[in-house]
Amino acid sequence: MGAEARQAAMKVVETRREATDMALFHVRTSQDDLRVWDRRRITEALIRETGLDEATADRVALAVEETILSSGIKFLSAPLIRELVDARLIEMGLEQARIRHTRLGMPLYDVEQLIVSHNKENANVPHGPEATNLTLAEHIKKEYALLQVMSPDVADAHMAGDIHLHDLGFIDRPYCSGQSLEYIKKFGLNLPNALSIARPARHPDVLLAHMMKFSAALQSNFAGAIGWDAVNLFFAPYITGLGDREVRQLAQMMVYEFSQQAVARGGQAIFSDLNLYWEVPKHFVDVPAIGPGGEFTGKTYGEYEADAQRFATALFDIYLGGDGSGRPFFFPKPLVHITEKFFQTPGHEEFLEHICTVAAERGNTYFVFDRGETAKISECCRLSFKLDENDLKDAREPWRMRYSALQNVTVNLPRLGYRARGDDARLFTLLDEMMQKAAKAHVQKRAFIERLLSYGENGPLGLLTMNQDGTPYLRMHRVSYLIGMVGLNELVQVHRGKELHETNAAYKFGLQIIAHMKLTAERLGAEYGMHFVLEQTPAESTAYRFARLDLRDHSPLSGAVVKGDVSSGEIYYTNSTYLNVACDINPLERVEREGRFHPLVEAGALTHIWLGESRPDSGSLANLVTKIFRHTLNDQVAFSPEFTTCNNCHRTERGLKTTCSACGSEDVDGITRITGYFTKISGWNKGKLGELHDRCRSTRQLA
Amino acid sequence: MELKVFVQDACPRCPAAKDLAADIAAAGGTVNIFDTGAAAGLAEASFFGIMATPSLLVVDNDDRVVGAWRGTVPGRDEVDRLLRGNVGVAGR
Repeated sequence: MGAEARQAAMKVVETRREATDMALFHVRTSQDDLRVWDRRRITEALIRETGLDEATADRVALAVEETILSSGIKFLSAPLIRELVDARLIEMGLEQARIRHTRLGMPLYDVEQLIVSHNKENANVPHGPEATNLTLAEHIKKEYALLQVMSPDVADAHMAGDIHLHDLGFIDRPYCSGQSLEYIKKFGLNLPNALSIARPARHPDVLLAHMMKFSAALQSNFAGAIGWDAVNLFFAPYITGLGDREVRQLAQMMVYEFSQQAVARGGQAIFSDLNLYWEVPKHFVDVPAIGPGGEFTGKTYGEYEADAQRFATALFDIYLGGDGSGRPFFFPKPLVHITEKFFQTPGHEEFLEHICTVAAERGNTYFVFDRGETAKISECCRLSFKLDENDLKDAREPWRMRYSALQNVTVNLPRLGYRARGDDARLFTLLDEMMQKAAKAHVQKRAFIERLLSYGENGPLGLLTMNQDGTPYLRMHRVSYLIGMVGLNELVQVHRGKELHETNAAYKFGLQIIAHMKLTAERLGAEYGMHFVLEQTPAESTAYRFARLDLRDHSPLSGAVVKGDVSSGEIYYTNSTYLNVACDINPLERVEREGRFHPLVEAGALTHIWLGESRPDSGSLANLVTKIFRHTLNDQVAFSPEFTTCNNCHRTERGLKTTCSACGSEDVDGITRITGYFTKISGWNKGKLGELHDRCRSTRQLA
Repeated sequence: MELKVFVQDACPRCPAAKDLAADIAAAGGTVNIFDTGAAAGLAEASFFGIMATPSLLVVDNDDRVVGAWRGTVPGRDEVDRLLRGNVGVAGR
């Protein structure tokens, strides 16, 4: 538009403006009030938010005013005006300004759907006002992350489904956190901006209360799991002298407190891990123990073995009983570390039998295998690592042992197969590109979190900057960055024509892909000065999302390898490096074959044994667990039974049923593990339902 | 029968393993050396559960391990016997 024409146009608008009573126009503003129309507010917003010069901004504002006047519009709101301004910015070719001027939010229709329907992206989120709040907030933060935190190429890779940036709705938090009770035992509950400060606990139930509150505070500052190390050992100095009944009561309180805490963030239970040891881990044997009041007891943890064992046994007594209607407790997850020392510690046979009974009856037990003489620790999100010299120094003062993974990015492996068209060199080049993109996403997340941390104790991540021992709570120099994978099985199938379990050649090729990823992660780590590690992503919804996108965009290749039922839409990719869940192989062989990937994948490595209705003998399971420790490289195993719980008569029975066999009611819920935790099947997404249908139950082999 | 030798850079006893491999190859044995610092070598090591270098395996045509020396270098005779199919000698 030439200058003359523009002047003419402005004159027209000005004339109309005079002819119309603009005072009739009221705008519903975002500050919850009604204001008389004022074009100047558009101009000012454009200058403030997009950096446009005043003349251009005013031109945009004038044009929008003209549209409004000529439309005969009766209802004017701030979001509508913003939409009109954005449309005008596009017409004028001001793309960058439009991006900066974007309004984040949701359509009315979607909000209505959300408030009345159940969000199934995460089965640990119930349906209710808190859950809706969480979803709405996550939605806006996700948009913010993709526009403002991540670069356009990284955001596009996520949107296209080449990679998945997990927990974008929690962009302003690190991913997960692992710590020891020693921190709250020594410093009490002294959180930044707290309404009250508690001195170190003197009684076991108060320590438990502190643990719960601190877990909730951490849940508000991290996206994922909150893990606690050696819980039974660090509780031991508080239970010395207590009778077995009181210890059992304490164990019961702990399990119920964690499992019923579904009242905080989004109505979610805290995704909590309790790491437990039968023996006193070597690196804690000579460490001075902290007891009531935060005082050293004068003994070392090596002297608390018996009390630690009593507490561990009591916890499993509670797990064995199940909840008030005999259901397994969904949280906290008990992770028992099986080590060389475990087998040398008196009483381990009975304890192993006990935790295997729990595994067979309720499924709760996670068996974590820490082989070799080197001390290992399970960080949050099951990231285990060998303790180096600095860690062993920290172990002398265990309150310093705090670990975190900052973010998790998952690579869509099958898609690389569709694109490589059978060419190995191209496949590995594409894989490198995706790993590079994942690294870039991590660099961007780190920069953002560092910015938030820089505001200190009064900033948005104040809790993570609290400094009681000379180091901020979140030790940024020790954080890890996770790179996950989904669908190795389908990648190998599309690239080599066979699934992992079908031929040794296919299996070895799978190992080569993951070995390549591991070495690339190490190389990128050295390049960026960051600790990148591979993770077996739980991929509760990602395995479904990737499959859905690929079925749409990479058919017919994808149609031949996607798992599940295409006609019902219950489709999925096999998680991480797992073998096909439907393949009928002996459980020990599955554990052994999946386990050969585990030394390459440092985080989250786990094999599931789906028990279905069967209830294997605890002795057989104990044998199996010992064999797994001795003869495989598998890092972690969980046994998952299935249950049906009746909402009418509140009985729980084995197996997935459509009606209650006690009262005949059809109002029943199925319960089993979705990925790494138990939950009700009614909350599962379609992909996981497809997987559930396919899962090969190891009834025959374990019977 | 095939001798698989797993090595990596900066591993003090790996040169001895490589020398042994070279001797056996020169004598006509089937020998493959895998660098665990490269993807293909690391994958092969993972397949056979090799966690230390140097490690040597004698495997048959079906990838069954006939003899194994993990983190150590055996004497030439021990390897030769297994390669010749004399499986009466136990590997470690």
